[in-house]
Amino acid sequence: MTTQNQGIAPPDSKSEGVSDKPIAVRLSEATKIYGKIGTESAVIAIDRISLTVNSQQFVSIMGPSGSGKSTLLHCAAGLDSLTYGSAFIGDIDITRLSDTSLTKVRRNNIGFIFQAFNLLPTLTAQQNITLPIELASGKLDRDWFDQLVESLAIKDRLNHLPSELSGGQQQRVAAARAMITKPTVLFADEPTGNLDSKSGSQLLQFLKYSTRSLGQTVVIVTHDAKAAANADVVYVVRDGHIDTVVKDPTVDQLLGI
Amino acid sequence: MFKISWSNLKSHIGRLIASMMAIALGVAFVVGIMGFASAIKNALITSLASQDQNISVIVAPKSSGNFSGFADRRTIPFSTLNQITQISGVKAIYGQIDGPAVILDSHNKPFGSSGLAVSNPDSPLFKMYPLVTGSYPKTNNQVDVDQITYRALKLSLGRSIRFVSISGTPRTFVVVGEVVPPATRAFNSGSFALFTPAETKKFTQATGYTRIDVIANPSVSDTSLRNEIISKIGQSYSVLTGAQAVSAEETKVISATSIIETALLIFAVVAIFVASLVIVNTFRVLVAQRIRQLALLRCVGASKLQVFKLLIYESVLVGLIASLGGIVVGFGLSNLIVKIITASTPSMSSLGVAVTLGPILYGLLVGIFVTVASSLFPIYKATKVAPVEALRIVGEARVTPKTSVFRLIVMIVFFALGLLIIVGGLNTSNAALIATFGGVFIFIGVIVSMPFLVKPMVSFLSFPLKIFGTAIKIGKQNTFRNRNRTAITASALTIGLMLVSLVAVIFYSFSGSVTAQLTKDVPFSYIVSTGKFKTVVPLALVNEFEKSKYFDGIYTESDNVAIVKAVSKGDYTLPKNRFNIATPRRPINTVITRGISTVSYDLFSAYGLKAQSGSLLSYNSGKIIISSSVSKAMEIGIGGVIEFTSETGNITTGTVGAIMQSQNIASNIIVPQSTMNALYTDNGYNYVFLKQSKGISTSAVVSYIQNKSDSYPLVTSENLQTFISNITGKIAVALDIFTALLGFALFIAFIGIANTLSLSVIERTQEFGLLKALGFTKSQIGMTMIFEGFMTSLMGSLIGIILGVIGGYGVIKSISSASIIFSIPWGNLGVYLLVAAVAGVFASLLPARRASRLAPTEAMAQIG
Repeated sequence: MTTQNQGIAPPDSKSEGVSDKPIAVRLSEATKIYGKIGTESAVIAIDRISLTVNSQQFVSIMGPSGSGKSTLLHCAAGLDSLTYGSAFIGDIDITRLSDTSLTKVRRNNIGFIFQAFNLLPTLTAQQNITLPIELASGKLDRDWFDQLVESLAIKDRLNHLPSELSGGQQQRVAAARAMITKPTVLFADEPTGNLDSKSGSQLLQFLKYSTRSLGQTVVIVTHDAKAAANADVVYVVRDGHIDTVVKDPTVDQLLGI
Repeated sequence: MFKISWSNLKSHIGRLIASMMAIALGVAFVVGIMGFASAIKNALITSLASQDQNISVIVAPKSSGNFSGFADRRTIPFSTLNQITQISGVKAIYGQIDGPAVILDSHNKPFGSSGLAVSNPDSPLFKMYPLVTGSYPKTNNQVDVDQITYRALKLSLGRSIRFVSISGTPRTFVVVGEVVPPATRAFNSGSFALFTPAETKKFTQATGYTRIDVIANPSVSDTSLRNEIISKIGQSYSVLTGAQAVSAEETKVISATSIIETALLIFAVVAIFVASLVIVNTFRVLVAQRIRQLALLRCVGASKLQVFKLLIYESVLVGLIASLGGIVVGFGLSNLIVKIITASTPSMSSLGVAVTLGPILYGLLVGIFVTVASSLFPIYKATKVAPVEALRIVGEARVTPKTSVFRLIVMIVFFALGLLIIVGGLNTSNAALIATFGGVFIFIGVIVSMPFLVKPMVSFLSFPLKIFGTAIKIGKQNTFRNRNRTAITASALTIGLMLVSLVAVIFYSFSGSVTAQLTKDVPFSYIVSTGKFKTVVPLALVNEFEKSKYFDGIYTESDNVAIVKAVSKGDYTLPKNRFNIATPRRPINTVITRGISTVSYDLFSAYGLKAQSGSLLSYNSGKIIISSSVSKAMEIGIGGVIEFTSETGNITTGTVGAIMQSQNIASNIIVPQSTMNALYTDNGYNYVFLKQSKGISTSAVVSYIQNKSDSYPLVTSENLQTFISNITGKIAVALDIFTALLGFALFIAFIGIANTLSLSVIERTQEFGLLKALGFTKSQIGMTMIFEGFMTSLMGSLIGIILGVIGGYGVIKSISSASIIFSIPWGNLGVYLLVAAVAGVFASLLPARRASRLAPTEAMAQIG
């Protein structure tokens, strides 16, 4: 494992734990093997990865295609199960949960932004945003909703169908949907992958803002150094391992990896 | 959740239209039948009840019970009326007489299918049929004719018309009025005429009253008058107050109409079953197309249950909308049918289909239940989607996973059970029923195995189409790639065609056997009968034939119905059952109705009668011959005694002399003339078979018969050829009706093909774009779709036809020991296959058009 200067430390270093902020996400010895274990077809996607994300931290996971970065995200977000090891959201061990409990965790503790926006095409922007609340039969926090749509600049698009919105607008609606339940952590899988650079940087600005001013924790997966550079910490994944950890990264620094 | 379902439904309602149509048609069929049946029921009840309402007490012959095909024709002796008149509480009394009386048109040909003469009461206290014009008959040569006949024959007051009575000789009457007939007249083509009571009695040669209506003095209650009448005339008649009679009539009408209703509903069930297959496919496809969306819902926190609910609500909505449409169409259709039936009866225009809650609720229930039930499995499977699925970028149309081991096991289990049941049932008394049950299992097995058959069958069937090139190759691959979907679509057609072919095989074999038997070596060349009037060829005419030099052989046959009861078993041992599958042992006095007939012994060989035990010759010494199936049903053997009860209430007994193999022309019970005479006082025979003498020209014989029967207008004569073609013609008509009723289900199956293909077009949009970009022409793209529709249809119908033929073979082997020869109606089956193939092409035209019109860019741009 190579380390870079400028406050770089290995993931298990104590220096990270000194933060007095509570832990939002924690992976311990997380291993995911596809295919039948012990056969030739078995593929180790991630191999004994341990990391922690503190509350209100903005974390990027970078890596080339096939490095295992997406698997890492899916397992951390409870979308996919781990073969070995464990994953925590807050202090909930999601590797030991039944489908029902896991659904509840997804509903209350996790927000998700996809590369392909993934809005329900038949619902308006507003209906898409409030969908998680409706699924949880919860009560919509009107102030929070207003604050979100205001800061995402989608207030005047609320009654439009996704097909009537630009890509950037759709992704901002998706961001609002991900945050409406005030989740413990917001995961984003290549959130800028389908966006032009202007819309992309607007979204990243918002995500950064949300960690600074709204108390949100954000974990994004990207292969775009410019996007990753917005984070507080960047984990670079290669061949299923965490290869490098960069604290307070710059674009140049990341491009150099 | 409901809101999301609703908005989802709105957005892709186009994809559900075909399924909704399928369900709506099924529901329309059910509602239409129910509406139609209730319209008839109400009309009959109203009409019959109005006759009884103002009557205090009605005396009628006691019924022998309800037997199909057994018409109780018992009457009340004339003397009984005088007995009742003596009772002091009686204010007025009227004995109704009726009997056959067929009207002759101006060409001296009998009108309608039958004719009824009814006595017109001489007091207005009793029910009178309302007059349209003219007056009631007052003298013996006056008559009123029902409105429909009056108009059909263009009659006018004062015109003379001729009636033929049971004796067969016509008499002339003067028309003095036009009356509104009873409601039943609208549903049969028989005429209805009113005569004076005296003339009715004389003309119909009545031996008693059909019913006696009594009106009580105001001081006497209906019930007490009833009791008095019972104590006077005894228990051998049915004596009811007016109110009791009305409700008894109602019960009778309801049970009669519900039999028809149930029979028709069986066809509706088939149609609905086929519609449910369309639903299964639609939901499978819809769910597959939306799998990413469902996964996304799971990602944002929807539980499995919520995903399930979302889809179920959608299916409930589909069922609801479709049922509502079906209910409207159903009522519309039944109203239309009733209007057509009553068009010729102006006085009955009030008869309409009432929109009642019953059929509406039924329609909703059936429509929603079937939709939800058939979408349940695809929906359940969809809830299992992993949330990660949402993250797949390209929604590629996935090729079905390999056909499952589970399916293979289910298939084998059904086949094995079916065979086991059939083999186990062999040689038991219920073999046929058990075999049918086993057949259903095997049928299900075949349906389950259809995904396995798709590839080999389509490869084989499409071999000759290879010359059309690449489009066919692509089409073939498309047919294979979702085998379950292709198989379900095809199986809808399989069910319909299986039933049609099954019935075609049975009917064809039957009519073929009749023809074969009657052309083998029959000793007669002409058949004289009264055709559809089902009365007798008068004895006087038969005697004349007997004396004539034109014939050297005369044979007679009489057909009647009787209630039969085994008095003693005779030499009967129960067959040994291999599995004693709960065959209830009937008590010895089992009562069933049977057709009985007398047949000249010389006709036995022509009818293919063969003795199984005993000697047929015993017939000549006054013994009864029964078929093996009657022997089994009644559990009676040689030497057993049967008691017969006729429709007119006469009772006699006879001894079994021989058991014959079951056959299909004469009745199952053949009684000697003496037994028949003890039951029915027919003055003649139903059929007279004549053998032309040698050396006499055919034309001379024909004109002789014509000449002699001229004075008996109901009598018709046919040569052997026409006789046979009349029988086979009737069978063909029955087959047509059956096919038409199943047509509903077949139509729905074709909607299913169109539906599956259109859904596939949506799914393959990108692929078509790619093909176009690679240089496929519009017509080549269209061709791939048409090929798929054609192949699905061909495959489904071919399997159906094969199953139908096998099933038909089984049925024929089980219902008769030897006399029906199994034969395959190649012509009919070929037409079915051809029609199915062409319909398959038609069903695929719209989807093909849509596919070929996709612009390559648009097709490529569409992502998931």
